[in-house]
Amino acid sequence: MSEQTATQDRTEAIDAAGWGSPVVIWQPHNPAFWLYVGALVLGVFQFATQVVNFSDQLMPAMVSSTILWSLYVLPWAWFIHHKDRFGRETRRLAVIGFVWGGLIATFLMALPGNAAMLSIMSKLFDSQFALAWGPAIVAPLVEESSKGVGVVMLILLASRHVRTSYDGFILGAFVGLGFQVFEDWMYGVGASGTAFGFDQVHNSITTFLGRGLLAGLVSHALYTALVGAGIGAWVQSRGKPLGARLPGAVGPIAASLLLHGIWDYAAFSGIQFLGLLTGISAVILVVMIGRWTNRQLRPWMSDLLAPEVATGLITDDELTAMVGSPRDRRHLVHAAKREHGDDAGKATRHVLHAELDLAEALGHSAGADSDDVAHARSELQRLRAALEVTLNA
Amino acid sequence: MLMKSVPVEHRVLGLDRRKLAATLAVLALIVLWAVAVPYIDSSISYETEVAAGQTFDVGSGVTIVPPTRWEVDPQTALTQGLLVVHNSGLTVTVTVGTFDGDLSELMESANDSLGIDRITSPQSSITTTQGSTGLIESFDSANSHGVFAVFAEDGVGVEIESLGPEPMATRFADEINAMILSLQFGATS
Repeated sequence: MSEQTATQDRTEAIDAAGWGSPVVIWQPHNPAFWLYVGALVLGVFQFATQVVNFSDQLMPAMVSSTILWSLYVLPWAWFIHHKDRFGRETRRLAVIGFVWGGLIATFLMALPGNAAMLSIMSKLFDSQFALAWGPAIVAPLVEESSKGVGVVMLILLASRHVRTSYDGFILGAFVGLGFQVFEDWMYGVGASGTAFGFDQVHNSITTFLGRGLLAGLVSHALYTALVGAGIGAWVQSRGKPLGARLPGAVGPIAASLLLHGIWDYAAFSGIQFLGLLTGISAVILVVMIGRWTNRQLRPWMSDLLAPEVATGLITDDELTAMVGSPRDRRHLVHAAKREHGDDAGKATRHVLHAELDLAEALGHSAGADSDDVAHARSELQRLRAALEVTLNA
Repeated sequence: MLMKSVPVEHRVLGLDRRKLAATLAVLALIVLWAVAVPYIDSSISYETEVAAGQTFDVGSGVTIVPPTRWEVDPQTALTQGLLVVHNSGLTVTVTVGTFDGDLSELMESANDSLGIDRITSPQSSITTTQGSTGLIESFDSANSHGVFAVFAEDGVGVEIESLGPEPMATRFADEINAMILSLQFGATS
């Protein structure tokens, strides 16, 4: 492949993946922008109304729940900081998605929708039926749709950036996280309201332990990551026949609805074995779907770094490892370690990290030779020289 | 992205027409959950609803006022010693019987019948509008929330359990609290 072709492929890959595209908040021509703003105003109003109701007697519960659930967000913030390294706008989009999940999906849509649907079920069928099956049927339907359209809104607001199942997976997780944090915050405070305001801090901690730590993993972030992956897959496969598009889009969304429903049924019915089984299945599935979405990026990742291979900065083996799975990267490190000793393994790992930094810088600069790209290349050269020393030792 | 980046043929009322259909679909879903479904719910009634201020005689001289427009389980309304009211997946059960022990014994026996997967809060003292003192605790399982209150007076024990999905427990907390506080002993029929 000529250097010119490689560079052109890189540009196309960056464009297709949306890595170099900026996200502009102020978009007065975009109807989705005005819908987001309007829905946010209404969501904030509903949330503020709830806070005012609580603030009468439940201040200790509000303060303790706010502290606990703010801490809960920190590891997720760290995750997004380290995860999507090629798209420069992911953090901003994650915040927009988090706010949709927390203030719009929760307070404007799911709370009134859930209450009304459960009430209708109770009136039309039977209270015992509503009690036994209501949460399992209503919650996935109302909540996943409310959160899922948050991912749709992100696509409408940043259509040049949110284009892949991987984008949908990551951003869906943040929409779900916002929903989870705000909903559970409200339950933590509300638990004290249901007990006449007694033991407020204890009630907040109990809710946090139950919904944040014990059941926190199998919750909204996971479900909406799956929904987001499906929506992202639909967008990514644009132009392909319907038959080829549907499985990737419908599969993860259907899995999310099913897991959410079974989990709620098991949790509410107290069938612990079913809950455990569902929880384990959900975690395994989300890891598999996460890897699948990641694999969709590999050809673009390969095109992104190919010009660096052409110039000799990156070797073919390293490119194969870089666009492969974590196992492929470990294999390269272990091979160097086995043949040349511990120092060679460590130096190989450093080179791979430096190549990831270079890929990140290239994604941010849309392939241009920015200062960050030049710095990443010089660091890679420095670490490769160190690797050569260990290989020749 | 500036306005000039939207081609002329794709503009309608100054907006990007290409995003209009999807935006309207999202708006429709917001209206569905926030307005339409709640409206439909408010237009449907339970068959046996609690009237405003309606007082129920549960037995042994114990009366209580459930929340307005909740459904009364018609069978329990005719059963001495038991009253069950529902709303939106929430169930409040009032059980009345003879009991000579103290409140903590009554609470202990009630707790024995609760599921082991529940995390229970410490008990607190509560006083009804009439002045009767009881004990109350709340409990949680993964997705449900409940409140348990016990009262005992003149050889009569009362257990009140509220249980349901967490969103509903929070939403109707004030109504359930008011029902518990409306409990009265010593009514003559």
